[in-house]
Amino acid sequence: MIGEKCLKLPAAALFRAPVVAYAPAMDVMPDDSALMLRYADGDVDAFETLYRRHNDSLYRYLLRLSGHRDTAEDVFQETWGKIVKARSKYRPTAKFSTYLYRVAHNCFIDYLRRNKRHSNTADVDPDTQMGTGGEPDAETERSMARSRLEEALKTLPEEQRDVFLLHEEAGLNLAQIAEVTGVNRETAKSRLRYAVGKLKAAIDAPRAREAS
Amino acid sequence: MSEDRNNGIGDPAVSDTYRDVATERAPASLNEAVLRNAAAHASKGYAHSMLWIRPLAYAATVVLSLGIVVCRSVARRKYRSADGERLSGSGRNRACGGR
Repeated sequence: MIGEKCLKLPAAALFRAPVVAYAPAMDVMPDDSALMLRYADGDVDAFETLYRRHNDSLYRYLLRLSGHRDTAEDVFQETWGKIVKARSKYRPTAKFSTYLYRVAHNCFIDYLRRNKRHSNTADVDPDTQMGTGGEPDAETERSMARSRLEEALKTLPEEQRDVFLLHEEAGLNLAQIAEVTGVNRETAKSRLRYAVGKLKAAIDAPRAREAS
Repeated sequence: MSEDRNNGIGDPAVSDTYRDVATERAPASLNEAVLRNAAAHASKGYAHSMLWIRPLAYAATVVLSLGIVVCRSVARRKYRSADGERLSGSGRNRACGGR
């Protein structure tokens, strides 16, 4: 009886193995380029899936790049409008997010040229509140660090902020950032290093002051 | 991103703090507008393609039907002429045999 059970266990495990191995394959989501090509063939659901994957990160990218909600919304809509119009010409030669953010980046540059009165004074309020004095506990310290980062991000030069946001929001690597912004890899690397250095210094400011 | 972090460019503390700050989402009205525009363009594209696909389908049907009719009539004519030759041939044979 026990021997039978012992014999049955590996057999059952072997029998289950393909199910375990192939089950995730059933859940594999089509990649962005495939969805875009399906949309080019008239599949609106494919576009919605693609859109839901990128809408929030693209919105945050434009919101923090411009510092204005209205500008972000205008450029966001213009970007997706261009993607929709160019669907039949789309060729999956690069990662879709690189293509999307390149269009967004160019739309933003065009927007700045069209609206020269656009100032860099941001109207985006930080979502987090500053601590209310007293002994800063861990949560208050985190909240203050968030506020300091938010402020430091606003004061970064536009090129550095752009590169940082492409890195964080779009998840692009240096080569892809270089492609989107139209600079070489070394320039993108240098901009990202400066941006991260300044933001890190802003987060660590009180600790640095305490140490000195 | 991780590749850059490994190169020492990214910073986990900066990334984590940024993630805590950046929680905004695209407004629902904006999502709706973009998706509506996308759907309108997709249906336009389909309708545009149907403009030439439908006449082409009709033309193909007509050509195929005519082809079938012509082929059948040619085949029937050939069969009849072959049949006629066979009949006249056997008649001649019978006449010869009768002599």
